[in-house]
Amino acid sequence: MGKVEVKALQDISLTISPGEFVAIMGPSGSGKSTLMHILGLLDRPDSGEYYLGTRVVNKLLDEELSAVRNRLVGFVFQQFHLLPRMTALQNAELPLIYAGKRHLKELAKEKIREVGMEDRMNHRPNELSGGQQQRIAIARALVNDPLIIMADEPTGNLDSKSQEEIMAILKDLNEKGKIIIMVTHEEEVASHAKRIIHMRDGKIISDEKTDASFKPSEENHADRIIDVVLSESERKARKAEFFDYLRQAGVAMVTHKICARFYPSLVY
Amino acid sequence: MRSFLSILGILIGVAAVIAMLALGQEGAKESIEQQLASLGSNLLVVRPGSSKVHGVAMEAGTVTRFTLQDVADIAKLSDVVNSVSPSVTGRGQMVYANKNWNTRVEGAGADYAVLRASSPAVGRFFTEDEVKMRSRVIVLGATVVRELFGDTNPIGETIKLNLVNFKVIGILPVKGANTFHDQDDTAMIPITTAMFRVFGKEYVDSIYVEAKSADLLNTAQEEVSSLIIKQHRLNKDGEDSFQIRNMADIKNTLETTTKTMSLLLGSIAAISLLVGGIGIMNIMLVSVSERTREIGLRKAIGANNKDIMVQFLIEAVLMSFLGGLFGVLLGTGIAVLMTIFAGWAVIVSASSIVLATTFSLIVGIAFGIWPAKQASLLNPIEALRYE
Repeated sequence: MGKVEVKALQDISLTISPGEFVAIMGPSGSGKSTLMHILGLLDRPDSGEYYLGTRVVNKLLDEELSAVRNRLVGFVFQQFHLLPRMTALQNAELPLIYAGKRHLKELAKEKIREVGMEDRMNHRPNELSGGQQQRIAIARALVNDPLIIMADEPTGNLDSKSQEEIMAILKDLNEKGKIIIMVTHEEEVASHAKRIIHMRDGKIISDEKTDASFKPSEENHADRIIDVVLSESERKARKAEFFDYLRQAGVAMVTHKICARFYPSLVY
Repeated sequence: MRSFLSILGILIGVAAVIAMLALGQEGAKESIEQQLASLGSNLLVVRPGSSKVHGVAMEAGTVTRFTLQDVADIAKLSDVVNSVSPSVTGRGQMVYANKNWNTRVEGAGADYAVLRASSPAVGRFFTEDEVKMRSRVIVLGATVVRELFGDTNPIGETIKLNLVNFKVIGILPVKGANTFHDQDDTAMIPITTAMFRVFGKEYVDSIYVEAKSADLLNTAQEEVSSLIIKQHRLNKDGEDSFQIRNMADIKNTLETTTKTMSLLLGSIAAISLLVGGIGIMNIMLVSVSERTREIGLRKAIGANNKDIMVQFLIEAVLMSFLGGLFGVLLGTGIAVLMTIFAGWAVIVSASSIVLATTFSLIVGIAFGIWPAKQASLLNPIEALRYE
């Protein structure tokens, strides 16, 4: 392979305001996923700056970055990425553990109720349909009350009925004030967004607002939240407790199918 | 299931440690102490030495013949000596009804029973009076009883020893066989009876001396030694014409052997723990690559490198700890079975359990840390896309 420099993104200048619902479109290899990873703090640009609120965040330490990601960004993936050996509820609780808020388990239940899955809370992902799994994934993304929801082809693996349900949930969230950034290559899905960005070869080729009436709100919560997240006391509180690790390790060990089938109660 | 298999490695290692320590160190130590206790504790044995006639060494016992007077003198060293018993030995033919048996016959004082831990299990030992009276009473070893009496009760019966009638008054406690001979194939009679009625000896063969305590053993040895030198007016050359043997010397030798043995067993245990550790490392590496997407997801929702690392490390440690725990149980079980079926003295000490568990934890950390590090360094984007 050698070291060939690939410019996944170049000359990107983009501002997303609070309350927006953005769809990023483009053929594969156009850099839309990379853009989303950078916006979602999973990756850093080699050059350039990313302001979240008024702060440049692409120079933060890894540890700080994961804390900010934990609190400000919720991810929804095409493959759902639910952990197969945990129940829906435990999956939705996961970000709380890393936020040091494990005592707020009620939050996870509330979010699951919000996406209409309260009767399936104790099911495992493989007992749920794709649409249901994606709703759990959305509940998980919401549990820390993030400002931004990153959706990477959220309906890519779903039938059209589930697709409508998921889009309805995302739209509803947007109306409640979340920024939604969605990567998709389906026109129909993108049409739900208020702003559509087309990309090709790492560049933005068009950026149109479909909802002319939209006025971006001027409120800026990002700075305040980042300040809190990076403060010393928060950092301490965030430390996941030993017991959580132990429980997860225990869960991991008894998850082989044989055990799980005979002793389902052990998995808790 | 797979975790269980890798736990098995640690489990066997720890079980081996426990069983080996129990058998090798504690158990052997215990059985040595039991053996020595059957000989009697804090015991000195005074025996005549050999003489040299024109450079030719004679058999032990040819010089410095001890008399009952010597025994009485040693008994007067009451500040260091607890009790004293002379001893003569010989062989005798015993007859009871239509059976007969040839055995080792030992004449001793009344204190012998306490001194050599030989108080009869059934019946009684002979008394001081019976020693003075040269009574014809006999205490039999278990083997002799079996050969002469079978299942019938020998107490109160009369047997013939070298054609002299003896009354059986007790049965010696079972001591089992030591390395070369059956310690129960023996009979005890009063020293005076043995010397003057049975063997016709005028001297005692050896004198057993019990010191007041283990600390006084060496002092007692010196005092007894100087007493004998004085009594027999031995000159410098004659000082080695008797010898005093000290049970502590024998004990030391046995303990050194045991130590070597436990060291050997310990190294075998260490190797099996090492192999178990490698098994854990293997399973953790497999686990990391199998759960790459999970790691990616955890990072995406806000876990930092340390969180991931600690998670996997704890998994490894938990595995090895469980292995250690079950290993302790298994090892203890094996130790108990060995006691029941093989009859070896086996003791599981708390310190060996703590040691084995600690080792299993250390193994978990040592072999879990690298896979955990690997997991924590994964790039979340690549990890999420991993198939």
